[in-house]
Order: sequence, then structure tokens, then C-alpha cells
Amino acid sequence: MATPRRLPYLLIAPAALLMLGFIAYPVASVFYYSLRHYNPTKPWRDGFAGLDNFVTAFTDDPDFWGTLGFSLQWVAVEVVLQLLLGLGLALLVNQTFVGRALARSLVFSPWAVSGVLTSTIWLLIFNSQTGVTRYLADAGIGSYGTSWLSDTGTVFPAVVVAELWRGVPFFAILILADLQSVSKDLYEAAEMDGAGRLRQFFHITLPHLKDAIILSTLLRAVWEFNNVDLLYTLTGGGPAGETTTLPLRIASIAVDSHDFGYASALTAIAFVILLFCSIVYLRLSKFGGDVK
Amino acid sequence: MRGVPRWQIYAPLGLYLLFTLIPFYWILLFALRPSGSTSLVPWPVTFEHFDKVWTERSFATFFQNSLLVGLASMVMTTLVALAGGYALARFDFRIKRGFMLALLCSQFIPGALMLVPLFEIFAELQLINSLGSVVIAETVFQLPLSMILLSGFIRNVPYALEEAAWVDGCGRFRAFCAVVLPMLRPGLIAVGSFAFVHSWNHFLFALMFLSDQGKQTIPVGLATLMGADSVDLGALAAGGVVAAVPVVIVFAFIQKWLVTGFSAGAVKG
Repeated sequence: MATPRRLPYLLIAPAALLMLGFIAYPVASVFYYSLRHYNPTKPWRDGFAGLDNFVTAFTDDPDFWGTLGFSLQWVAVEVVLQLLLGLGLALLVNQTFVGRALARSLVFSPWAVSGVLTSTIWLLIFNSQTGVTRYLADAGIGSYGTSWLSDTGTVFPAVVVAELWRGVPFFAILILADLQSVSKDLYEAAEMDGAGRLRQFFHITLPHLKDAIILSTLLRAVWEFNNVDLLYTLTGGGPAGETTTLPLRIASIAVDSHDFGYASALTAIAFVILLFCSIVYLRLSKFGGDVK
Repeated sequence: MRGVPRWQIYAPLGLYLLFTLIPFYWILLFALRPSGSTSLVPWPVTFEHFDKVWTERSFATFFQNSLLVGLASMVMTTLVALAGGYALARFDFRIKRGFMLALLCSQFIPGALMLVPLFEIFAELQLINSLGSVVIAETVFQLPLSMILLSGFIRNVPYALEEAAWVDGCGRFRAFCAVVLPMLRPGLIAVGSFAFVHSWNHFLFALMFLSDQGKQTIPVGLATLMGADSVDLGALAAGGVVAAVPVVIVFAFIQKWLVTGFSAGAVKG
């Protein structure tokens, strides 16, 4: 059957139209608004702003650098810890042992839990009256009435652990999927040559996983940067703005002060940072390079 | 890697299982024990909190809305991605490379940062406060990955099988339905359930586009309970359990396809 020339275009048309209308057009309008003063509550100021919004962000906004710094800290800590724990977990449940199927479904299960539900669960764990600290205090550890989420010294580790809880399974699942395709012969050959488990890991397993690791860390980093569900509901960016990421701040500017022009400029900056970091990361890590 | 001592598997696994399972136990504990109790065992069991969230806090309505949004996004995402994925898997056409690139790039676009322009579009379309806006937004942001995944699955079905069906006198569409579709079952299940779980869980679009209480979804309902001045922990826990039920069912169902679904190659593009 000859390939009808218009068929592929007809088939991608619904997807293409949806993405043009609801992704491409909004992206374009973000860049357009970033160059304007635009605030529905102050219509008299609307108009072309040039680079004003950007200048404000870089020089005149006391919170900009702080939230950007926190975003990078948040992404780095989460991605590194999730990767290490996820890799360890995948190697564990890739072994053959009794109860493996059950162990897999149990350790993977938080993957399907939403950010808001994660917040719900950890709010119950961290709350000062009936949370875990109460029972620790009963046992003589720490003091009553401690709330890890409202203390600037403990809030960061607390939210990191909550996000780890639901984030690790993502890496474990992807890495386990990739582990299935390592050829058994390689390990047997390595064993014949007397290579220990550690050397097998560094010389066979890790090189095989390289592309999967690069891709999953990149996707995850972007996702952790952008996703606001957990922080929005668990801490609301507090205490004292301590856990406010750049996207969280953008959302609150848009919702509270309706300064859409400025929020758009911050969005444009976030875009450029993400794109730049992704390209640099893919270049430096030589993605898809030597291995296969 | 043979000969790993058993305790080197069970000890770390046991520790990690504790970290995974204690939070689940914790929420069940709060949901099932009476208010004010500090017992670490939910006994005697009470369902007062469930009664409360389901009727007083309108979780019955939220549940219905979330279910509608989830199912509608699932059907839309799967159908649109199936058509597009088939085109990407089976044809060479001029804008294919550019289109693939656009799909990948869209992964870098933060849905949260699109709120303002999306809000304006939906306002223009008169879809604010209608579940339609959330269904469209969820579908659009699910599409790129779903399409890439499905095209990977379709590529794994030998083209020769389809061609054989054409020789037997089937049209392209009938051949697709008779030959390709049955073999795509794992892929369709994976993509469909991701779409469902994703939109069931998603919070921000529903928060922004639906302001009517009667239109809100479960995550927004939970956030409202958390944001209250004095949080009713029992009701919050019960609400969380309600939110988890459909996801747990879907997860149990797709479990065995989860790992194979990803290793079918689509993740590597």
C-alpha cells in the first residue's frame, strides 16, 4: 500500500494543534508580557516596559537571588540523594531473593502518590502536638511541642526527606528497567576473570546505566525545579521565605499582587536558566556518546 | 552477580521498607483512631473522620470531579497520542525531526509558570470554572511523553504484520485495529494509567482554573483542609486516604507492566 502523503500530517494534527494553542502560544506570550508593564489591578501603568522588569529582578528585588539560590540548592540536594538511593534500591531489588515481587511493589508505591498527598502525610508526621516528635519526647528524645516545619533550622531537612520519600522510586523504577538489559554473559566473563562485585559494578553496570542516569537526572532536575505542589502545600514557602523556590515566588506574585509583567519576566529568566543548564549538562556528560 | 549474602539484601531493604511504609501507617492511624487519641494502634476503629470529609467537607463532590477529570484526560491523551505516535513510528515526513524536537523541548516547560497565559486563554474560551479547562491542560502536558512512549511501543510491532493484513484486503485502519492494537495493550495500559494518575494527582491547574467549591478536585480539597487555621488532623488523614484509593488500585493493576513498560525502549527515545 502506497503511503498516502497527507496521512502522517492528519495523524499528528490534533497533538500539534493542542500543543501550539496551549504550550507554544502561552510561552510566546510569557516572553511578550515580560517586556511590558502588565497588572490587571493597575491598568493605568500598562504599556511597553523594555527591560525594566529584568533590571528590577537583577538589581532591585531583594528576594530574587535568595529564591534562585534556594531553587538550585533544592534541585541539587534532591536529585543527588534521589539518584543515589534509587540506584541502591534498584540494585537491591534486581537480586534474586524470596519476596522480591512484594518488595518491589512496596518500595515503588510512593511513586504514585501526589505532592499534595505527600504533604498531607508529612504534615501529620511533623505536626507539633501528635506528630513523631511527641512520641520521641515521650521516649525522652527531644522536647514536646517541637515543629520541624516552622523552625528555620530544621525546615530544610524536613522537606528534603518528604520529597525523597516520593521521589526515590522514580529513579529506582527507571534504573531497574535499564538493569534488565545488561547481558548476563558480561558478569559471568568478569567473574571468570576474577573481578569482584565492586569492580563488576564500576566496569559493567555503571557504564551500561550511563545514558539512563543522565536522562533521568536531567528530567528530574527540571521537574524538581518546576514543581511547586509539595512546597506550596507543606510550607507555603516559609518559614520566613526560607523554602521559597523561584517558581513558587512567581506563582505567589501572579496570585497575590497580580503583577503579571514582572512574573512573566521571572518566568523568562527561569526558562533561559533551565535551557542553558540542560545544554551544558548534556554536553559535559557526553550523552549518547561512547557506550552503545 | 551471584553469591550476595542474604543479610546484605534484607538488612538495607528492611530499613528502606520502614522508611516507605511508616508514613502510610501514620496516615491510616490518624484516619482510623478517634480525635484526641494518642494511641499508636488504631483501635477501636472509627469511621467518623471519613463520614466528616465525605459529607461535611464535600469530598464526595471532589471525588466525582477528580474521577471525571482523570478519566477524560486519560481517554483524550491516549487517543491523541496514539494517532501521533503511529505517525512518528511508521512514516517519514518533512517536519518529523522538528516535531520530535518540539516534543522533547516541551519537557522543559514548567506547567506552573504557564498559569497566567493559560488562565487568559481559558477565560477567553469561557472555560474558567469548568472541568474542561483542567482536562485540556492536563492532556496537553501529558501528550509529549505519551506520544514518545507509544511510538516506541508501535515501533516494536513488526511492520510486516501490518503489511500482511493489507495483502489480505484490510484497509490501513482495519489492519491497525486488528493487528497492531492488540499487541499495544501493555503500552496503552501504561500510557493511559500514567495519564489518569497524573491528572488525578495534579494540583495547580485545578487550583487556578476552578474557583467554585462544587467544581474543585481532591488535591485542592486536601490543600484547603491543610490551610485551615486549626487543622483537623483526623479529617485531613481521612481525606488523604480517600485521595489514595484510586491511585493504589491503578498502581496494583499496572505494577507488572511498570518496569517492562519503561524498558520497552521508549525512555531512551
